Amino acid sequence: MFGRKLPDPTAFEEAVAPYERQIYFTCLRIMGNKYDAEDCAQETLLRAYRAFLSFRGEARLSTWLYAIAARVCMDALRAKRPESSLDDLMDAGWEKEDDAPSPYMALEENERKAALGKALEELPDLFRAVVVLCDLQGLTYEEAAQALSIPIGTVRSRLNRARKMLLKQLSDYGELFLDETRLNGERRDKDELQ
Amino acid sequence: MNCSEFRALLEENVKAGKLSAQQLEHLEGCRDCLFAYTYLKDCRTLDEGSEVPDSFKASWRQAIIKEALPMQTKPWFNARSKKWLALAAALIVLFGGTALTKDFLDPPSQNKSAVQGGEDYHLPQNYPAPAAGGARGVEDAGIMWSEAEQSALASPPVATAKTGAKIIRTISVTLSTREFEKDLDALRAALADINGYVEYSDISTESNFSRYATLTLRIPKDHVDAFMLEVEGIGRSVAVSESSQDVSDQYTDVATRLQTQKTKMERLQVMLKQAVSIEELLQIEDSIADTQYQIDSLSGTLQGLDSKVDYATVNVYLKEELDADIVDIKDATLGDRILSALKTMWTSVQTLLSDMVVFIIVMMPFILIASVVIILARWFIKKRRNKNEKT
Repeated sequence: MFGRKLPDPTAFEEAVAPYERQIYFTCLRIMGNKYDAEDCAQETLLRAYRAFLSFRGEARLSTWLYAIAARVCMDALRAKRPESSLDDLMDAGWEKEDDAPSPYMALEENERKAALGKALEELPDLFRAVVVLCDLQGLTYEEAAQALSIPIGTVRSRLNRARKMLLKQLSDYGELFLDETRLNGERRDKDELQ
Repeated sequence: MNCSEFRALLEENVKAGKLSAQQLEHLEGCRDCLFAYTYLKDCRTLDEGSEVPDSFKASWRQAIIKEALPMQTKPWFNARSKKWLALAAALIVLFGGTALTKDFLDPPSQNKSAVQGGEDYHLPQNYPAPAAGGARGVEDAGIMWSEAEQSALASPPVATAKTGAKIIRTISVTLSTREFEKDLDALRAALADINGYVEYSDISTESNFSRYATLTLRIPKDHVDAFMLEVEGIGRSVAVSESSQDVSDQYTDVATRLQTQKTKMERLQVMLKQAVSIEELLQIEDSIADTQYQIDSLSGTLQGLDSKVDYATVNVYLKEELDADIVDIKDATLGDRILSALKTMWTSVQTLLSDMVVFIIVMMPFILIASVVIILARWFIKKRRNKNEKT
């Protein structure tokens, strides 16, 4: 309660500043809005500071930080809304079976990223977390499992499902153009894609 | 190159940002691998070009610095110490509230103050010591008096009244009893037999649940000794003291002054009839009024003295003995004393716990109201904070 030892703030800042951006955008992609992202990212770094002296370097510093960020974000999401059953989601018919070309591929890079960002927001929290850690931040399955405190098998399984959901979203021609505009504000015609 | 080979190198390819001719050739012919490559590349570069907000950059650094402040300047009221402080505050409220409100929450004592007198007697902590008039020794006093002390304390000299003398007698007697109700009734019966009356009565319960009665009795002077004989047969006599005050001179003085004033009054009445002028009349009437006041005052004093002389005052303290109280220290071993102390302490703990339960139950409505208010306040503040953040 009293007299807790804390690291030198300057030394800590030097150590984690290179990961500031990654932590922020991880939180942003998991939480879905910049306000929650700032809160969670700040909380992540604060917790990391308090526990910094106990970090033994067994894992990479980035992995350790991602683990804290994931925990903070999942706690925040749980507090905001109850989790829906993953089993229900898995039976919702999200898997795309046909071989039709995805309109996603026909878009320009900026538009693809905008579509991808929107599709990410639609994912359930647990799936989104693994996609952000593995696909966006490049963690291995082992590192993601450690960060989320789940088995590696669960990481693989959720990632697989999440990617299929994203594929379905990105392949849904109608949804892409329902209320979307280009990044520069112009509306794209359907005919342009064909 | 097949899909498995391509996918095995997918991570590396995305990191490198460029593909070999073989890999490009494969992508031209494989839509799935092209999609996977494009998707992963987009994921990895999703936030490229986006800036981290300056507010975040500043806020986490400030939070770290604040966290690192030395304990002297850092407020000690942090999240963890809050819990300990809350616990300490709750215990203080519980124990303090129990102690302070104990007497208030206890059932009221039976205070039967009579119409006359009604002096307040504070319950003595210890039994009253023998007064200057002399203390009578006690039988079976056990811990209170040793044999030597008992023999040394001979019967006090009873005031021998001179013929016509005015003597005010005041007696204090302390009794201990195991049959509280029975002995109290016996006292009242003895009082009724000699036409005495109760001037003041107070019966209360002590913390160890034993009862204590304080009685101020007025006994006709001719029956005092007989009454005291009766009293000594009730319970166990612990202490007796008596004092006598000879007020003969005072009585005579007051009586003489009264007579003087009465004589003066008779003369004034005669003078009033013989008054000639208005001024003289008024002067005489003034004097009559003053004289009447003196007569009334002196008469009252004389009556008061008569009352005290005619009725002696006997203060009776009757204490109930419980089994735990009976310890003869003369013969007690160390084990007995420890056992007795433990019993007393256990009784005290039981009393404290029961008082605490009563306190909690009585405070429950206030606790509930305070809890509701706090919950509502926190909900309101949280809602307001969320609203501010969203805007």
